[in-house]
Amino acid sequence: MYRIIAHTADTGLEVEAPSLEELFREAAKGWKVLVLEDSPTRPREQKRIRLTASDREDLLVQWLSELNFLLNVRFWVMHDVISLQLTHRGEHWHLQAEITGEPFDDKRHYIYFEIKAVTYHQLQIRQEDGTYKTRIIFDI
Amino acid sequence: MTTLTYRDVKIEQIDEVTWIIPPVKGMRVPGKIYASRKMLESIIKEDESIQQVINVATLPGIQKYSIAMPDIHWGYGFPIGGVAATDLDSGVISPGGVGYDINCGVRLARTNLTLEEVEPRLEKLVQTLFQNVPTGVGAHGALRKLSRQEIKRVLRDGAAWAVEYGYGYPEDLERTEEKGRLQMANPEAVSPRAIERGQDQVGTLGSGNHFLEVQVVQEIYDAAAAEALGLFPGQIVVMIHCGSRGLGHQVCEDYLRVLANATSKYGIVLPDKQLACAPIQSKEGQNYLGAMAAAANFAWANRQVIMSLARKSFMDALGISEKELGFRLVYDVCHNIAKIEEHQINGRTKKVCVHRKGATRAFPPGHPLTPEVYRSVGQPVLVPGDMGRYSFVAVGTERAMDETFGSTCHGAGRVKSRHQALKEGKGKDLIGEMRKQGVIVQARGMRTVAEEMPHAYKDVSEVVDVMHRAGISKKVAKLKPIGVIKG
Repeated sequence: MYRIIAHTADTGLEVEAPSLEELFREAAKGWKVLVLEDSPTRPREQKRIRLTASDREDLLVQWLSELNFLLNVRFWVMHDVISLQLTHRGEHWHLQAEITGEPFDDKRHYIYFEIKAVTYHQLQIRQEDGTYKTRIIFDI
Repeated sequence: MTTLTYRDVKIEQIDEVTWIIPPVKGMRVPGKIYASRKMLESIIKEDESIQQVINVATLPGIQKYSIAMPDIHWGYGFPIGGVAATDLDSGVISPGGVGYDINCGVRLARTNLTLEEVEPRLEKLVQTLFQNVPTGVGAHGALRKLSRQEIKRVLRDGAAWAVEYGYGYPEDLERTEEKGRLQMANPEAVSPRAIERGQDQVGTLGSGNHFLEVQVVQEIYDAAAAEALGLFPGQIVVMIHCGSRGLGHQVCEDYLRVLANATSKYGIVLPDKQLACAPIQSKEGQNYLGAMAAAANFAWANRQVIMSLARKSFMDALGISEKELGFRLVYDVCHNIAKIEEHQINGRTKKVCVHRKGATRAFPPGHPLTPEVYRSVGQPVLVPGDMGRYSFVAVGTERAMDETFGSTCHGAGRVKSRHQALKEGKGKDLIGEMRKQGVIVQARGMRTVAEEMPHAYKDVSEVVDVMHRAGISKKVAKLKPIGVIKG
């Protein structure tokens, strides 16, 4: 579950999920609605994403930054996350994901927000009563 | 004189518009805030920016004060509207003190035209500008996609790169802060990903609060300074507000990670992780400075190209020659930057690293870095307001050198969140409302218009007045928008 939150100059997401993997998937969904609102997307292509970070918060920032990069620089729109795995080995967290999507088409897609960056502002992934919770602020 | 309290911290008033936070809890220097009492009361209520002024005061090597302008609001690490200078040997550099949009800044161009001459063809002019200047997210540059090698030249040469390709004139460089090029730029310190983000963004305005406005000079406060700047009442001018686009955002993102590691590596203790920093002389600090300067150069090239596109749009839409138009750069200032500058500290001239985040350089008359053409009046300061009301031109003063490391305010600051403004704008004819206020707006999306409506912003005149009363910058002219293009 995610919720879009207002911040005076910026915007953000509050995300909750029963597992860490679900939290990352929900955050991606929330990011997509925030940026593309209801622009229709199709699963025409598939991409594999692999990321490594020193902690899970940094991994979340990298994950959303990657989706943002694909959209704003490679002009490629995510449709859905097919699979997503997180592993913690030694000092590092790793993410492996497969996502579907398609090239940006300005007849069907409209980017509502240009997210300059996914920030670390008060970013913390908490676990409360078996639920993972976080709040992410975007610099826009 | 009175005191106000923020949490358990006392803020002492020292004159009508100046407040001091005496050092508490790890602060190495006092905080200094420029604001009227009313403004400061609302700043204290609004967000945690006062805490950020206090946090910045704990940075190693900070000099004199952690300074806040009247338009201060919460920012990433440093407040937006914050200024801090750090010692070159013992001090640190922090990307949070510059912001994501490196060298976000403002450029003002003058014309020979008056409101009467332009008004009948304003609609066409705004449309032409909107067609010629790429706006919004995903907009491709007006130039072909540049190669990686070419982007590196942009990063090295800044505005001069654009002039070399025919976008403007060498005299424009004389009227740009740092002549549109920071020499310490190191393109090799910019990541391949950041370069990729910049490859087709030279000559793009971007989205959010960035804009290009056709404005009219509505009021002159200082006739001599206005004359030196080439401004007169009723004159048509153009203001461009944008920065280093995705390239700058990526540089900030990349180096936040690098500097977060450096903070622990060098044993720097911080009250907020977002102040991530490194000693200026460290490898990490030098790399960030070089990359940040390169991104700043990209922003200058960007604004130089956009100005050129605007010049051509005026000529096309109005069917006049370049000579008749008289389109010339007044000045170009940065709002988000860190620079090595010389300042007087304890009676000695010293080189320091001045972080200006949401603040404008405001050098005085006679300063060697004030362009020669403006040496008698001071460096022009450009302070944009919201798209319905007004923007201001001011000049720097000697007092700014003494008190704020030659810095002043930068804008209005939001009073309503984008979300709130959007909700209030639902179902309304916002373009029609703006037209009633005498402003023609062209934007890629209605959402941007709703978010950027004038009531979402504070009144910039109050901000500029505080700095004028404090003697930090002197008001020269008020500019009213009549045509706006946005992303």
